[in-house]
Amino acid sequence: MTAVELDLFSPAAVADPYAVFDHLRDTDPVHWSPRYRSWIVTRHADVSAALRDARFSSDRISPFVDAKLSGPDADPALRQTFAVLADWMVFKDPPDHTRLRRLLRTAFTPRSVAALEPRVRALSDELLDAVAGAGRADLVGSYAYPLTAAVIAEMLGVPAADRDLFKGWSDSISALVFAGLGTPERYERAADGMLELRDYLGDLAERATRDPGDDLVSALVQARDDDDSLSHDEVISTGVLLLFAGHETTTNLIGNGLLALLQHPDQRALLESGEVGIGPAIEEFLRYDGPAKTVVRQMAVDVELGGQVLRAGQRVFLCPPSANRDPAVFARPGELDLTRRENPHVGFGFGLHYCLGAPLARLEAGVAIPAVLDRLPGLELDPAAELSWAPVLLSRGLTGLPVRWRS
Amino acid sequence: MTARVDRSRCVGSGTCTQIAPDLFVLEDGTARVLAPGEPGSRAVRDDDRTAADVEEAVESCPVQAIEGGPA
Repeated sequence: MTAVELDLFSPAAVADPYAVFDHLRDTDPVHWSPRYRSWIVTRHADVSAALRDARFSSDRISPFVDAKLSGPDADPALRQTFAVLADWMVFKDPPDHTRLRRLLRTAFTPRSVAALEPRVRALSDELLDAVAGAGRADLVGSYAYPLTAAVIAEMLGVPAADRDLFKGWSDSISALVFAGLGTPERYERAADGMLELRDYLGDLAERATRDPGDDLVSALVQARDDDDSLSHDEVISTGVLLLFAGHETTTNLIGNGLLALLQHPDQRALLESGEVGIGPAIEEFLRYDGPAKTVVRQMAVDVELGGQVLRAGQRVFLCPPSANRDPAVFARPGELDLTRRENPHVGFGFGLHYCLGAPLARLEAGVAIPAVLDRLPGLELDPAAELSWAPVLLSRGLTGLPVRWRS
Repeated sequence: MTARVDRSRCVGSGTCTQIAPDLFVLEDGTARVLAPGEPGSRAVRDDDRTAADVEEAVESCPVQAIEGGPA
């Protein structure tokens, strides 16, 4: 891999990043990639050490904004777009990160989230009712994607009539954040979508100020913690973050999990017979083929990791899917095994940025996956269809999951 | 009121240390309970405030790694 330049966007690596990660982990676990001008970190020990180390900074947007988008020639739409991203707590270090996350904490505790279960179940049933008679469907496009969108839109307080608007906007943000194979035109379209969403959430926030409801935007507007509160811009940015983070990644957890089951009938049987509960099964889906492909950090200072010196200012890609198949930690790492007892995967990260929405993602996948198995008898992958994966660096997700069943 | 952190489950999200920085501390990336008498540690623990803080930490932990118990 040091002789042949690493290409994470090659069709083979997009379809199966694990072969690339296995090779890197064995031969050059802290690898400098000239192509990406980044370190690629692939061992479990190194990934989890970096995730809990503040010297691996999350503040990677503001240097970009300062360098690329502050001059007189900078595209104003793009500059405003990145101004929204710059307020995301995922791009902050303490103390800013601590402040933003503290204000959201109560909405995402396991107990708060458990109260949403009946709604998640009802939305899941509604979507499955719509396809059950067809005998075939794309379970990403017509199930996982609209389900996770509806859940987070309801949590934010978006009226049902406006929910379809969210899909286009969510796609726009994905294009910006996931750094796909984009063209400048695509970037501009994405920036336009982001600004529409910003304005929409601004209206929602103003409405919530006048007439607060039992939703997240109202909670953000009212958030008071030790006399601290969110500015209007922070409410909007955080709303955008929650929409995005609550949608795309959970879609991929459900899609990748269903695919893993359909490709492993023996494991599916363990789940369907009740021999394994959905809880441990989801942890194994997160380990075996989770939604986060790389996590980006920027070095705050020089740090030695795995025999290499990572210099201040350099970028680092931490690779959870590689860590999650490290044979130093997991027996038979390439096998889906729902019966694993110890499963210290880093699919939701580790440390201060550990996924805030993890309890919600676990709940949604825990409802969505068994519901499909219950409702669609004889479910199998559509033998006529080919699977394809989104060609993006940060996430691992199917472009569709074509299936058929007895209807 | 006292608490126990299962450090093999802990993912170091810092939730408990934000709720009660004088009861919990992050050490090598995971949380542990500060012993009474340690620097920065809460002296009085048999009060309602401590019971409320421990309960909030137990309920807020994203991976349910904290258990409460009698003082």
